[in-house]
This record gives sequence, structure tokens and C-alpha cells, in this order.
Amino acid sequence: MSATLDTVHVPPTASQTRSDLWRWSLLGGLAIALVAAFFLNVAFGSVRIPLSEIITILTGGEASKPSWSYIVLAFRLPKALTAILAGAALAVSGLQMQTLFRNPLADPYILGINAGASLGVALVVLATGAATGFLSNVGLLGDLSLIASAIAGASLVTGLVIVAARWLRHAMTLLILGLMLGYATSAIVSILIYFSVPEQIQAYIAWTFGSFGGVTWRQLLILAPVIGAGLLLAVLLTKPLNALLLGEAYARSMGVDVQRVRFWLIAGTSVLAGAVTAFCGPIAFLGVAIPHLCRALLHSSDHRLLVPATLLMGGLAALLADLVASMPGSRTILPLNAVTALLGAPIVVWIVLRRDGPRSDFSS
Amino acid sequence: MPLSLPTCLADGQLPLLLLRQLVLSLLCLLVLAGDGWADKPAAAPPAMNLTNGCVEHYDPNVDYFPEKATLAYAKGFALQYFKHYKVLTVTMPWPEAKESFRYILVQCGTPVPEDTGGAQVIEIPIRSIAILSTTHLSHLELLGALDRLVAVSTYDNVYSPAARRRIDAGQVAEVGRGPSINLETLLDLNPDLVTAVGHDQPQYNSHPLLSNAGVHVVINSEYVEPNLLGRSEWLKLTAAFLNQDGRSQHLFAGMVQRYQGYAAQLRDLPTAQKPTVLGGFLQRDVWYVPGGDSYIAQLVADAGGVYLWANDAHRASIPLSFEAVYERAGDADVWFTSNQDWFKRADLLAANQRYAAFKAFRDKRVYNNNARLNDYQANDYWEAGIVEPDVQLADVIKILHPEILPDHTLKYYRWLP
Repeated sequence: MSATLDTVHVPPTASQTRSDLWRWSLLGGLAIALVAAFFLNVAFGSVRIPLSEIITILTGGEASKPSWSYIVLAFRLPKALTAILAGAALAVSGLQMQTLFRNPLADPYILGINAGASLGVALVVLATGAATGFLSNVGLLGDLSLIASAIAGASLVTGLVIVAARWLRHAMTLLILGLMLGYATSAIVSILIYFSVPEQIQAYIAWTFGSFGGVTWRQLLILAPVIGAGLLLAVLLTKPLNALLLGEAYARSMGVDVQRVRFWLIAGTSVLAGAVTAFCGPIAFLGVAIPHLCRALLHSSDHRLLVPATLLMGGLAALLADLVASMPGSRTILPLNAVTALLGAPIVVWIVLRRDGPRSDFSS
Repeated sequence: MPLSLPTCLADGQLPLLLLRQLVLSLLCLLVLAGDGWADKPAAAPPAMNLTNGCVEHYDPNVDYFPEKATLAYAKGFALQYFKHYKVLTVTMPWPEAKESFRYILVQCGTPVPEDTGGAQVIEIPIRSIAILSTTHLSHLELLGALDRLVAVSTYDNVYSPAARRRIDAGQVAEVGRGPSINLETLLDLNPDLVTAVGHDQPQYNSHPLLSNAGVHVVINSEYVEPNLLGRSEWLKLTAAFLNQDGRSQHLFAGMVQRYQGYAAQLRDLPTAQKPTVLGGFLQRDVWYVPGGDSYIAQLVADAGGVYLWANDAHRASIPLSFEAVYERAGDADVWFTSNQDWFKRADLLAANQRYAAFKAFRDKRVYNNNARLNDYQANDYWEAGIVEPDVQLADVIKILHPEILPDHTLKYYRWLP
């Protein structure tokens, strides 16, 4: 036991000396890896398409099979773009929540966004008997109705939290409020599931697995600007975020309007996580893990570095997870949420242990 | 004592003498036997199964089930006949089940066999029944036994107008199913039999809860069969409890004859003339396609179509990636789907724009199994459709080869304009 711990090399002061060069090269490396993963994602899927054909299709040429053009252009490309956007959005908003609440377990869903969206979807999918009249016009299990209901549910919960954020003095109160809202909505979902037939439950569970492949170009036209705006907001908030690291009282003394910053952080996170959940389902794990991964790799808690790093790393991780989930060569696909956690958890544990040292902990 | 032997034999006029003598002497013999001062006579064996009431005087030598059903297509259950009881074994309560269920159906008025081997003993013919799946409702309706229906799982799933009238008249209770079944209502109703569907995920099953509570429950899972005729034959399972074995045998033989008659017209069709067929629908980015061993696959083959996943070995739906389905079936000629809420192709587009990429969609050859919905959104496809395999086949033939059945109008399938 002690032998294994001793073999873990913890550089004593290397992180200071490595400084900026390492950090910038890491960011550059992440950007290159992201581009590479993007092409891998477009090139590999259930259907085997030769690389030369992929290049022909991407450069605007005619593929030797028309179905290949459609698969690459109308399915794989929007899927890969969605993965980048969703991964980046969740990772960045996770980082914001961890800093705001000074809690290493915080994630974008901590304020009940996920639970709110789940409730919206559950109401549509599970409580069909009550709502058939309205829904038959939309297509009951249609993606559009799922998106609309997820947005409605998420907005309801985050609306409550945002209003509370304006008035409450302590972030901790807000955290508890969000948690309780989450529990309450989850309870309603449980009741709905309990009284539903297997087919409906299956449809609901399919949504909770999460996926990037359901997003079409037309939906991307909505998703991309929304996430772009949320990420821009995150970039603008890096300075006050750094101040918040020292505690709310200290940030106040530095002239930061804490309540105002808190409001914008929560609003931004709601937009980012809400949009992703609405279009892709509740994608777990990335939001909590990627910020830790980036902190460990960069050995820094400076948000001017962390925000771009989590953005790139989130997109990269989402692309890789989706690539594995699509199981190139087989004709079926795996649930995305299972892949992100199953593959991601050991990697994050390894890196965090290695970088942070086995004896220190997150709260220090 | 109201009658005595001499008066019995004395009455009667010449033309009716023979008949009356027979009836009266039988009557007298019963009376005598009841009084116990003569040996039990050998009763004449019944010509039909007893569909109402009990045997009054049990004779171990009498075969109480002269009408018997034999199974031709169904693989999921077996029926064995003994003189005064039947043994029903449900070998496939759900797909790929490891356990089977045995039931001993004892003719009312006869003794329970000594060694039941722990099987559930149910007295037949049953006088009241609760059904937890509307697929069983079609059995009752076809066998003329709707008057014995006392409960269904969900009112809104009931299509049959006759059954709806009973619901409206307050003669049928609603009891739910699975873990949320209303046990108290069921216990209060105390039906002679509850028919439940077996599910491979135990948490959805109703039968453990019911049998623990002492309710007579039988598993009737016609959906495990790989073809429509096999599914329809589960009619004989319900009929066995009503002692209508002969009638179910006759009704099913008719279904087989009509079905095979249709299928024979397509048997020698060259493959080049067979349209290719796609099935299922997309749920987010997973397409649930009926497996190659499913009843849909068999139906398409019998109707002279090429089901594009015919080589697959699954009986249930298989989850495929969008890419895989598009690669194989983007050019399919006809698409059979099953979504309750789709009435026109625009509904499909609202659900997912990618459907427009399929040739069957562009060619307006999309068919949905929701042609018969009532005001409660109950679908007759899952009710009467279960006992009309021939009509379902005719529907699919009409869709794939309209020239073969010019006079047939679609009953269960809806064309999506």
C-alpha cells in the first residue's frame, strides 16, 4: 500500500516553475486534440465509410453512395458540433458552480435544473393520458415536444432559484434551496414513473440516457447561439470569479457586487445547462469532472486559464465519449451517460490523485 | 320424496314415449342415486364441455371434456386433458423465460387431483374474469363471454364498443396493473380468474402480488410468439378456462385457413417484385426496429415483402443507430410504423426532421397501425387485431401489392398522407 503511494511522483514546486509555458502549451494541445477528435467523430460511426470518401464529402464532393453524404453531413456533423457545444457548456458551468458555492461536488445541475427538465419531460412522456389532446398535435414522443417540455421545466426551477438569488444573502442558502427543489421535482417524477406502463417508462429512460445525435441542423441554429452567449458571459465573469475564490466577504471588500455576480453566474449556468439538457438530455459527469481535471492538469485556480481550458476539455471529452458510445463498426449505440462516467471516472481519479497528491483533499 | 319409480315410468303418450321415457328415467335415476338406495349408475358421457355450472354427480370414469383444443402454432403454452381436469403449462410467460407456470383447471363439481405439484388450482368454467391486458378482451368477445368480465386494467385502453357499454353501465371495475395494481378492489371483486401479462422485468409483473394475495391469476402472454397465428392461438388458453375448447379450436382453424389462403397467393412471387420494408421509429437517435424473428417480419414475408432486417435473429425490437438504419433502409419502399399519435406525414416531421430523408417518406408510403382509435385513444389493433391475423395480413398485402386484393379496404393500418 505505502509502496504504491510512494511511487506516485508529486512534484514539489515544479508547478510554479513550469508556469506559463506549460499552461499555454496545454491549452494549445487541447485545441489541437479537440479538432482531431472532431474529425474522428465525423469519420467513424456505425456505418463504415472510407476516409477518402469522408474527405470528399467534407470538401463538397459527391460520395460514391448518396446515403454516405447524408450520414456525414446531416447526422455526424451536427452530432459532433452538438457534442462540442454541450461538453463545453456543461464543463464551464460546472466550474462556475464549484467556485460560486466553493463546493467540489457542485455541478451545473446543483440548483435543480436537471430535475426541473426531467419533470417537464416526465410530464409529457409519462402522464400521457392527461395531455393527449394537446400533444397529439406535436407528436407525443417527438423531439420538439421533449425539448419544449424540458425547457419549460428547467425554466420553472431556475426561475425560482434566480429570483431567490436576487434576495438571499448567502450562497449556501441558495444551494440548499436548489437541492430541495431538486428533491421535490424528483419525487413527482417518481410518482409519475410509478403509475406508468413500461413503454412510457422506456421512453422516459431513453431520454435520461442522454445523446448528441438527436440534434438536427435546424435545432443547432437555436442551440449554438444560446450556448455561445452563455460561454461569452462566462468569459466576462472570470475576474469576479477569481475574487470569489477568496470568499464572498473578501470579494465584497475588493469591490465586487457579489449579489449581482451571483445572479449572472446562476443565469448563465441556467442557460447553458438548461439548453444542453433540453436538446441532449441530462448529460451527467462532465460538469463535475472536467473542472477538476483542468485544475489538476493546470495546477491553477485562475479562471482566466480555467475557463478556456474547461471549455476545450469539455468539448474534447464529449466528443470522445460520443465516439465510444457510437461503437464504430457495430450497428447499435451505447447510452452516452454510461460511457462518460464509466470511461471518465477512472481517468479523472488517476489524474487528480497523481497531480494533487493522495494526502491532500479538495476542500483545502 | 316427490317422485317414485312407478310414476316415473307410467306417464306418456305414444309418439313421445321413447324420448320422454329416456328423460324421465334419467331423472328418476338421479333421484334414486341421490337417495342412496341404489348403486351409482354409469351416466351417459356429456357430448359437450360444460360452459355453465358444475357437474352434479361426479363419475371418475367420465371424460368431462369431450371437446379438446390442440395447438398448432403457439409455442408458449401447452394444454393437456385428463378426464375431469386440464393441465395448462405456460412455458413462455415472457421472452426467454427460465421458469414456467403450471395451472390445474378442475371441472367444477369434480375433485381436485391429489398430486398438484404445487400448481395453482382453478375451478372451471370460470364465472367472472378480470383482464390486465386488452389483448385478452378480444378472446372474451369472440367467445361470447364478455358478460363475465368484471375488471380491466385501464378503461382508456378498451376499444370494444360492447365492453365499453359494460364499463359505462358500471359493470366493470378499473384495477391498474403491475406494481400499482389496486389489490383491494380486486380482492373485493373476487373474480374467478385474473389474466395477466408476463414481463421479463419482474418489477412490472402483476402476478406475484396477486397470487400472494390468494387471487387466481394466469399468465397470458401472446406477445411472446414470433408470428401472428401463434399470437392468435392464445385464444385457446382463455377458452380453456371457459370450457370453450371446441369453439376456440373451430374459430382458430378459420383464422388459419383464411390467413394461409391469402399467403398462398404471394408464395411464388419472385423477389424482384417484392417491395422492401422498413419498420419501427426513431426515439432521439436510437431507432427501434422490429427484430427479424418478430411477428412484423413474418407478416411482411407472408405478404410478399422483403423485410430489410429479416436476417436478424431478435424477436423483440432492436435498438439501432440512426446511421445503421439509414444505410440499410434509406431506400426502402414501404415503412410500417407504430406511433399512436401519427396521422399524417407532417406529424413525423414534427417529431424528427430526419424522417424526410427516407424514400418511403418521400414516396408517401408510410403506414401506421393506428387506423382504429376510439375517443379514448384505445387502439383496436391491440384488441380485435389479435384475433384477426388474416385481416392484418390482408392489410399488409393490400399495402404491398394492391392489385392482389382489389376489394380489400385497410382495417388496422392507416396510410399517412
